Amino acid sequence: MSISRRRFIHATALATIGTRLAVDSVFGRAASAARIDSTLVVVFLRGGVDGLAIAAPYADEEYYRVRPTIALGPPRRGEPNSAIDLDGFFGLHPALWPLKPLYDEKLLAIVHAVGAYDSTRSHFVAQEFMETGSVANGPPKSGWLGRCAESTPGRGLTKVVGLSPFVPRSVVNRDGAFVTSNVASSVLAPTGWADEAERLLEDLYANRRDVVGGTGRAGLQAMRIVRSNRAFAIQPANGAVYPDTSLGHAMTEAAQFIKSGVGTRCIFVNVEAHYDTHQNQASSNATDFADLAGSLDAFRTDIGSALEKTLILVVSEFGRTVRENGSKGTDHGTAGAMMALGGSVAGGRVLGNWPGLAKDRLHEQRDLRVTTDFRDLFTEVAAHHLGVPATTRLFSGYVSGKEVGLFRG
Amino acid sequence: MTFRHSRKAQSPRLAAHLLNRAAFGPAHGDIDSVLEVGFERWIDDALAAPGDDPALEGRLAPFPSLRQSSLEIWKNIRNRPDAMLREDLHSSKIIRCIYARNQLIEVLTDFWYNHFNVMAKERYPLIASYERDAIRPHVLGKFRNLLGATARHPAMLTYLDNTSNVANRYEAGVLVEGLNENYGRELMELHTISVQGGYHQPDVVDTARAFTGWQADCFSRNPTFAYAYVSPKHDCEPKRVMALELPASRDEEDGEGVLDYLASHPSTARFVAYRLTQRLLSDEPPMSVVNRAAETFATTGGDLRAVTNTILRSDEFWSDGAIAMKVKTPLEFVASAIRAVGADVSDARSITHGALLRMGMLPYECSPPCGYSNRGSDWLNGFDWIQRFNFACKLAANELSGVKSDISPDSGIDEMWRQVFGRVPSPATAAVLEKATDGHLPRFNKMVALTLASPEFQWH
Repeated sequence: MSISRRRFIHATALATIGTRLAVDSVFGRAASAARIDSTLVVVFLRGGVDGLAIAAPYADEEYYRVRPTIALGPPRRGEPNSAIDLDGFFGLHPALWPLKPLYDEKLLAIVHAVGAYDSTRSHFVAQEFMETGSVANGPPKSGWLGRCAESTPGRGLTKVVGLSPFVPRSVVNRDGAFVTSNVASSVLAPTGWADEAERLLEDLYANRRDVVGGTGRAGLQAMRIVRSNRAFAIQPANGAVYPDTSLGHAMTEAAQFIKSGVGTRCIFVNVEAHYDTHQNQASSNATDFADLAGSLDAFRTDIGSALEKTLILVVSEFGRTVRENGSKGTDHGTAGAMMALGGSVAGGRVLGNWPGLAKDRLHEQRDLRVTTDFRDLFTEVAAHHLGVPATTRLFSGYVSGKEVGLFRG
Repeated sequence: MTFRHSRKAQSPRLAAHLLNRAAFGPAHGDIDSVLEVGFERWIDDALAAPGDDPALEGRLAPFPSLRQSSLEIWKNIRNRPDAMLREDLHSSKIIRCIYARNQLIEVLTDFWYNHFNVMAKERYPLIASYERDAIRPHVLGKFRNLLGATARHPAMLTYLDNTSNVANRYEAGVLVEGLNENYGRELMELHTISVQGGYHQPDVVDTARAFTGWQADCFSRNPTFAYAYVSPKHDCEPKRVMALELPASRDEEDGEGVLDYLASHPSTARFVAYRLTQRLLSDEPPMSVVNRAAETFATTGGDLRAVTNTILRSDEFWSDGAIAMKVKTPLEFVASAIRAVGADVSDARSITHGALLRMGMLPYECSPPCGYSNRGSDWLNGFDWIQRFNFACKLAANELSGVKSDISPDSGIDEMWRQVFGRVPSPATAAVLEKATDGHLPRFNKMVALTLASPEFQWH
C-alpha cells in the first residue's frame, strides 16, 4: 500500500489501492503475533502539525502553487531548505534528518492523509475525539490507551503511563494510570522524617474511597516503584544524547519505563510545542522538528534492542490547510501525517492513498482529504502490537475494517 | 439582592466553603470574620468595587513592571529583561492570590485571564498591561467591555496572530492570501459562543475577514505597543457571520459589529455561565444554576457582577453536595496552603518555580488558548501528588526559601482545623495526626504538614 509516484499518477484521487476488508487477517494474526511485553509509545503533538511539512509531496504539481513561500524545495544535496527524498514523490522535512536512517532501515513508516472528519476544526474537540473516540459532553470517559490496557492481560499502576503535567484523556481507564511530568523529581523528601512521613501519609490516604484517596495512594505506590528500580536512576544507554527540551526529558523517561520492566504497555507523551503554525511556520517547524527527530533518535539508541518490542506512534489532532495563509503559516485543516517507528513496522514507506492537492480533490476545497481514518490505524496498532482482541470496541460506534498495512508479516 | 439562605444557619463549615470558592481558602481568622459580617454582607462587599489595598501594594512594590506601560517596559528591557519580567508576573500573581484583601477579584481575574488566555512567553512586556488594563477592570463589569478590551490588546492580537491577519488581495491577477483564521476561530470557540454555538467554517473565515486591519504596533522600529487600525489592510467586501450581515465598505465597525453580535448571542450567555459556574461551584455544574446564570447574563446585557452574584447566591452553591467536592488545582492548593499557615512570603520563587512549575501550572505560561483547566479532576495526577506532599512538608518545616510560616503549637491542631476547615478532623484523621512524633522537626509542625497534605485539604 505504499504510495509510489506511478501509483499516484494512475490512481484516481480516492482509489482504494490495497485496501480491503481484512478483519480476520488483521486481527487473527495480531492476537498471536503480539508480545505480552510490548510497549506502545504515543507522542501527541498538540496544536495540529502540518502533514505537508512532515512529508512534503514535492512531486505533486499543485504543491508549489499552494505553498508559494513555505514549501520545501525538491530534494537537492546541499540545499538547506530542500526535502529529503523518501520515495520519489514525498520528501522528509530537512529538520527531521535524523529519522532518515531509520526510514532507510525500514523501521520508520509515515502514514499520510490520515485523520478524522471534524467539522469544528477545533483543537480541543479534535483532541478529545482522537483520545477518546467520542466528543459527547460529560465527565471524561476512558481513553483509547486506557481501553487498550483494560483489554490486555495484567494489571498494575505502571501499565499505562502519561508523561504530562495534566491527565491526558488517552490514558484514563478504570484501573488508573501513572501520570507524571517529572519522574526524577517525584520523590518524597521531607527533611529528617521521610520514613515517618511516608508511613503517616499512607495512613491518611489508606481508607479514602474518593478520587483523591486513589490519587494519593497511586502517587505513593508509584514512588516506591521508581525508588526500587534502578532503571529510573541510570543514564541513557549506548551513548544516547537527548535534546535538553521537555520532549527530550519525556522520551528519556519513556525509555526508563521500557527498560525498567515494570509492565508498562502504553506510554502517552504530551508535547506542547509550536505546531499550531498560523504564522511563520518555517521557523517553528525547523525548531520543533529538530527537537522531535533528535528525541526519537536518542530514544531509539537508548532502548537498543528493545525497539523490537516497542512501537512509537507520532500523532496530532489534525493537519493544516493545504494553501498557506497570509502570514507564511497555515490554518486548521483536516488530514495530516502520522509516523510509526518500531521493530515490527514495515517501514521505509509512505503509506495511505494520496488524495491530491488540486482544489476539487480537497475536503471543503481547503483541506487534505482523509483517506485513512485514524481509528483504522490505531485499531491496527492496538491489535498487532498490543494484542488487543478484535472483540474490543476501541472507538465507540466504529467498526474498523480497513487494513493500513503498517506491520511486517 | 435577596439572599435565599439568610435564614439558614451560618455554620463555620459554610463559611469555609465560601472562602474556598470565592477566595483562595481561609486564612487565620477569616472564618470568624465571615460569620461576623454574615454571608450576605461578605458577598456584597466582595462584589462591590474593590477599594484600596495598601498592604498588598506594599508587597507588590518590588515588581516595577506591574505599574508600567508595555512601552515603558520595552524601553527599559536592557536593564530588566524578559527573565525579570517573568519573575514580576509569576511572583505578583501568587502574592495577590495569597494576600489580596478582595479575594473574589483575584479568583475572577484568574478565571477570566484563563478564559481569554494569552501565553506570556514571546511577549513578556505586554502581559502586565494585558491583565491590568484588559482583564482586571472588567471582571465585575460588562462582558462586552471585557471582550472588546481583549480583542484590541496587543497581547491578544499577537498571540492569536491577528497582527498578521490582512485582506486577501490580487497582485498582477494572482490571489495573494492574507487571512489568518486564528483569532476569528478562537473568538467564537473559546471566548464567546463555544464550539457548539452554531458556527461553521464560512463563519470563521468571515469573522477573520471582519478583523483584518486590527493591528498592534509591536514590530516597527519604534513600536508604541498600542492597538492600531490599519484601514488599507481591511477587507471591505460584504461579510456574513451566522445571522449577522455586514455590508460592504465599512472599517472597524465590522469587527465591532461581530463583537456586539457574539457578546449578545444566547450561546455566549450559556457558555460564560457554564464556565463561571464550573469555576465557582463544581466541575460538572448543575444545569439549573447554569441556566439561571445564563438568564441573568441575558437580561442584564452581560453584567458579570450580576452573573457572579447569581451563582454565589444560588441554592446549589450552598447545598451539601457542593461543599468540599471540587479538587484544588495546583494554584489553589499552594495559595490555600500558604494562607492556612499565615506565611509571610518575601520571595515567591520557591512557590512559582519551585512548586507550580513542577505541578504544571506556572501562571501566565499556559501555551494553548483554552487556558488552564477549571476542572479539578483534570489535575488528579497520581505521581505529582508527591509534589503536593513535599510542598506541604517544606512549608510546615519552614524550608521554602523566602517563605516564613507562622506555626505555633499553642492552640493545638484542632484549632488549626477549625481555622481551615471550619471543623475538627474526623476521628480517623485525628488518630493519624496524633501518631506524629517529636524529632528534628517538632511534632506540631509535622501535624500541620500532614494536614496540608491530607486528602481533606486537596478538596475545596
